[in-house]
Amino acid sequence: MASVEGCSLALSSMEGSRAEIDLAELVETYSPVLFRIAHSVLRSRAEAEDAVQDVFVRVLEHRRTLATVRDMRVWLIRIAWNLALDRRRRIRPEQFDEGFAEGLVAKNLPVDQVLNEARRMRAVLRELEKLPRAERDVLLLAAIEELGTAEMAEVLGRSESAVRALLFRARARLRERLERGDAG
Amino acid sequence: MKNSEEAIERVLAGLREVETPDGMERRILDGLEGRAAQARSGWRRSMPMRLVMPQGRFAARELGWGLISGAALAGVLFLAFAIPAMRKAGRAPVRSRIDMAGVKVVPMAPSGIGPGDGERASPGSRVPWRGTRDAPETESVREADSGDSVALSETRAASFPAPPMPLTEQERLLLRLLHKVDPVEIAMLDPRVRAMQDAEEKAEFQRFFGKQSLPAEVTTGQSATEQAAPQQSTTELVPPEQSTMEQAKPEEPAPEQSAPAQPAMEQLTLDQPTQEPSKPPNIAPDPPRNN
Repeated sequence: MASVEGCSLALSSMEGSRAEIDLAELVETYSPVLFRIAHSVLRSRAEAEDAVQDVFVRVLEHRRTLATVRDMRVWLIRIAWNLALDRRRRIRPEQFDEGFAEGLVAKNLPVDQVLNEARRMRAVLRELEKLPRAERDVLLLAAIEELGTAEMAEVLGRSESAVRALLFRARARLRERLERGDAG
Repeated sequence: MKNSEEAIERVLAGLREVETPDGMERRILDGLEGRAAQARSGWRRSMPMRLVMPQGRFAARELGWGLISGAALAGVLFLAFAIPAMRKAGRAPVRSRIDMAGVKVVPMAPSGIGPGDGERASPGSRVPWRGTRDAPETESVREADSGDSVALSETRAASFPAPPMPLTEQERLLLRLLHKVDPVEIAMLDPRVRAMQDAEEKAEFQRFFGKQSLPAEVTTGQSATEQAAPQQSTTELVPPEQSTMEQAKPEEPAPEQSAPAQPAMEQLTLDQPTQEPSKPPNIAPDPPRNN
């Protein structure tokens, strides 16, 4: 990350503690995971990058209460998740699914197989969007694999057992709907 | 079943393994620095975020420059607000003492037409046009860049009349006259008032010389009374309204009033020498007699 070595933005909280939080370090450390979380919701790289930018703007706005944040990672992920959901209301992620699905297909396959695989990827994304919201959210957060069950529960505001149950139901429902669609 | 599970795993893996765009961190930091600089220029103390310099000894110098620039900014703001206020107080318009009851007031145009309409209607209370400073700022750069929306809003905007023209030379002279010149001189601009004053002066003149002619009549005899009589008859026979109306025309001198007055004057001056030749034999010393 040599590109951000030139300068560093330090945030000094107004509360009694003199601890300074290096914003550049925060960006360097957490922007990849925040980008993936935003991208899982939005499926657009440009929109996901804008969402990450908004996350750190929120950090600037809440600089006075940063000292009270217990877990910076979960706090940032929750902000990114909520901002992505807000942004999702203004755009339609389905419009980006085609390009994303084609990017998932291997390029060394014959053309007919590429088209068939792309169609299947689009079907999975479409059925994923049709899942109940709680199940879809748990499935998308679990896809990142960088979050444990406890962190997912904290981000979503649910208990760990509820998160586990939702994740199980989400996968089962998605698989069932895809098989039904293949049979039809 | 295996195919669907495999497809789900591939999609979730694709979401998990997405690469971050190149230079995303740099762009995010640049954007944050821009926001921080913008906030610092607004109010430095409320934004404790600072750009950390590699050498800590420059912090005091930076603070000093900040204080100096803050003081300079405060001075400029003070001058910008105080000087116009002082000028405005020094130029407070003086209320005219002229009775404006006879002045016909033109009703003002409705205020909803345009922002500068009231300025022309009341010259004494000129309010500087401050423009629409409180126009809403654009919320995002994207909205500002959309040229189509701007052009569309301009085409749909309501048309306003042209701003009022500046005062003409005559209007400015009239304003200067109203605020500086003696009210008597302003009143003399009215031809009716001027004509009435002329008539009064003439009547007073004739009255004065009419009274002067009475003692002259006693001393000079019958000729003076005969010439003063027609003068009085003209002033007494003519009703006051008619006489003033006739005298109200300064361009047309009244021949029947001015013409008899002058001969009376001439008679008065010419009659006196006629009496003198009778007196010198009494005043002059007797010539020496040769007897």
